[in-house]
Amino acid sequence: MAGTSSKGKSRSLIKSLILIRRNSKVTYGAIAYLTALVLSAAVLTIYPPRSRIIGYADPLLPPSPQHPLGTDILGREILALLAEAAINSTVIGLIAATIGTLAGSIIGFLSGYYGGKIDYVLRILTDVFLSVPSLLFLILISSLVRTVTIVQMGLLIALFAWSWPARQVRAQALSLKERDFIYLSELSGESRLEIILREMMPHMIPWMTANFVNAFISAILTEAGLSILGLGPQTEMTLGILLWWPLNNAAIYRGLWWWWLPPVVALIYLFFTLYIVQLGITEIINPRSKVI
Amino acid sequence: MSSTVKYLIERSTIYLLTIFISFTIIFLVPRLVPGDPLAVFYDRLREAGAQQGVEQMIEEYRRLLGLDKDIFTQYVSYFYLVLRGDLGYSIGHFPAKVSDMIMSALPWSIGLLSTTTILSWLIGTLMGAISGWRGGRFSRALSIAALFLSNMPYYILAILLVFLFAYTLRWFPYSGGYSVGVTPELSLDFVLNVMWHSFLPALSIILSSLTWWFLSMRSMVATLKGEDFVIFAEAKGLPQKEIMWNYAVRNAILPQVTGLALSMSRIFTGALITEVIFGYPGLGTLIVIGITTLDYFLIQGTILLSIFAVATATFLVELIYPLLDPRIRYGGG
Amino acid sequence: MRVLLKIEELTVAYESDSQRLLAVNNVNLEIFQGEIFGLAGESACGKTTLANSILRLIKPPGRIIGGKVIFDGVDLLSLDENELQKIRWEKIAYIPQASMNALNPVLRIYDQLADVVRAHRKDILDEEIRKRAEELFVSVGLAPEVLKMYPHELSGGMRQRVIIAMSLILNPKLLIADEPTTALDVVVQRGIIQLLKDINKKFGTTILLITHDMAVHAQIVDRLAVMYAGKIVEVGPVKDMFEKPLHPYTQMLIASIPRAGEKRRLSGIPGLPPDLRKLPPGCLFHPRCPFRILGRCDSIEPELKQVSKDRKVACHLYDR
Repeated sequence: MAGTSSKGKSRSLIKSLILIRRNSKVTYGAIAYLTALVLSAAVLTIYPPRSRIIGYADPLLPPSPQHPLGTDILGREILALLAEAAINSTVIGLIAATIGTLAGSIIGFLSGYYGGKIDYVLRILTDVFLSVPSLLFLILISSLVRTVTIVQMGLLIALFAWSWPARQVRAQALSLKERDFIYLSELSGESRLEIILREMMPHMIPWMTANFVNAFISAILTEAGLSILGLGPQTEMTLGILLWWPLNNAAIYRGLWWWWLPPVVALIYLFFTLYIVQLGITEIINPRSKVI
Repeated sequence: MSSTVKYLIERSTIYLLTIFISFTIIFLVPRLVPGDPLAVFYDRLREAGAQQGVEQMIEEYRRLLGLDKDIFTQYVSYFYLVLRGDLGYSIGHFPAKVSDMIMSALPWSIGLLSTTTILSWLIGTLMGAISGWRGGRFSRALSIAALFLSNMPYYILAILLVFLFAYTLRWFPYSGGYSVGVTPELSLDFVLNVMWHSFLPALSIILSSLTWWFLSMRSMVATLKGEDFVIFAEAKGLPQKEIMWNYAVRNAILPQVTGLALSMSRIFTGALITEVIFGYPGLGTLIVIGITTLDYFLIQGTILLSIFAVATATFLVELIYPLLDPRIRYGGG
Repeated sequence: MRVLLKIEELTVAYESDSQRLLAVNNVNLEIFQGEIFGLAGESACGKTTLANSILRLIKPPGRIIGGKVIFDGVDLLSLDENELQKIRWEKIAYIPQASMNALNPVLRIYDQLADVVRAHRKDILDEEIRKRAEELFVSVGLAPEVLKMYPHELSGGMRQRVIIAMSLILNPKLLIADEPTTALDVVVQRGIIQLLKDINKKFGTTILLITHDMAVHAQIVDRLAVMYAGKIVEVGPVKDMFEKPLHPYTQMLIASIPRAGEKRRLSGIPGLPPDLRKLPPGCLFHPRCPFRILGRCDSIEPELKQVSKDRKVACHLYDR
């Protein structure tokens, strides 16, 4: 796989993309997730925006043909809220995961590839960020900020999402650095940048993808956690906020199952599909680790 | 230098560094947020209609945040304050002191967390060891279920348990540390009441944590089964049970302990949210009270203490490791 | 002489997915009590699998699919787990290949010696174990302080000797030593070889010595069997076999030993051992054999036949 022609490199990149697509877990998991998103978008077009505003209908109505998932305490259509929440949570996850994985990969790569003092400092920083309970800091920070938007939430979570990818990419860079084909490339006169982009990248892409999916799952769950505590974006709906409302109004006690069950089911569903994708990617990286 | 000493020094350094860096970040956060942090609270308080004690509170903030002095002096004075255990006054429950509020919530959290962590680790490790050693279809099915459960957030399981056991079956209460109207005292009745209330939160945390230990121990033991020294033990004619305990488990327990140390943050935050869902009067609920009453000092103090608690717990577990691994105790050779 | 171990038509297979390869292919062997019996052959010819199967230590995907291992009149393959545990170590001890890894990292040396003794002698006292351990350590050249140490504190050679001492602690009738000298430096090797000789002489322990190193066989073994691709191709007294090797493979093995002082081109053995998944027809060695008889060696498998009083060969060159 490590030829010195550029054609060889792009071929192996395509090969890994095909592998990803062929792996049934990844495809099915991804399709399941995207289906949920598409359905959410469909719901949002069907139901008018005012269905998500206070006073749209009578409060706390159980599910019926007019209100498939019932209404919440403010009289809002829960199905529409769920759709909005699913999309918003996804956006938060994407922002946090993208920034986190990119930043983490760069940091990890610099750390592993250059070594020395840079590595020493960055590594300690990464380890500390890994070992502290990130949720606690996030609570601290978000309690100070007046209002949080979806985008700000994503950025906030990204603050801690970089440490795990950094550690992984660093390990990868360290091991790749020593490999023979890198040495050969250096001898053959490829510039540093070329080596990094052409030779090392194809090996690191599967890992970065795995990190991305991990970060994505973690971000969605972190957002939910923060929102349950009451620190979520108040103006827009996310899955966590959708859980905060019923939990703060003793919904379980009052038997208002249609209020708390949809976000729980949604979270379980999204988490489950992403988990399958995660398993698939792990299999691709390490074919021996077939679990199910 | 003996390897034990080296190990201790390394671990202590990381411990102190983590606390120090966390402390610094907590110190910096309110000062980095744009605008005067005091203004935010001042406005909110005025919006909420609070009139009395506002002047004292402003003075309190001035003192605690030391905003009139330069940043270094602020840092040092904050450091000394914390060292003395003075975490300031609660804004929402003025004139209650933050440290007092934490002290009343702390025993609940420590009780819940320590029992659930130890229990889930022990049970999970034991189950994992037996499952990894025996193999078979049942344990494979168990591990698939565990795989799925282990990545689910703690709060989902908590909600489902509340629904099942509190609402549907009515076996346990919804929330609280003890029943309303009961006065805390050292009596059997009270203790039983507390335990009845703690059961669901504890069950929730134990189930969520157990799966991790089960899976890691299982895979470790299964791997060890193929190791040279385990096969050699069989050649020696030792009974299976003895091989499993003294050869497989004794070795597999080492990464399990390391895993425990590494998971402290994760378990703590999971338990925190679980406490909130159950209205359990621990640190988690305290933080939420702080959030709802916009009580920044309460939040800050509780988080500072939480980080300290997690780091300390991690460090304590790391201290156990050399006792189990002779290669750390008597390194070299 | 009395036969201590008789292996009859033993076959061990490794099965994976759709393939099955025979690591030990219909092997017949006899080992007499009190002798040092050598088993030679290139790496991966089945020697270790054979040794492992004597004590039934074969793990999946390996499986013993046929034959008998008769030790002192009892077929070991027919015993249940409990009876087998009693035989293990007490009657037959095993020094595995790369035995430096055979020690439990978290137990002290003494504890690892004591646990095997206690597993077989329930009521033995601690002092007795300690005394015996220290005696054995003297004979293998280890200081008694080693008993208190952990494996990682010892060098490879020391760990090897611990294993050897451990193997003798219950005074077994048969000692199987698999490559006991590989991965050690020459000086330590000589010590081990001498040690095995002494054990055999002093205690009368029968030794099955497995190694690819022909020079080691030449030094201490009484009788020698040569194994190729899972089959025995020649058996006989070691002196005879070295002076007049019959099977072409044996000839090549012996010729490949470098001899000091001789100015002779080192000859390896051309070709590679066969892929056990795709065995050649007829004699397994014929593709590499310079003496092969076309039409015979490439189609009919030679049987291990007695060609003189104490010699057996599996080669068409010696068919009558």
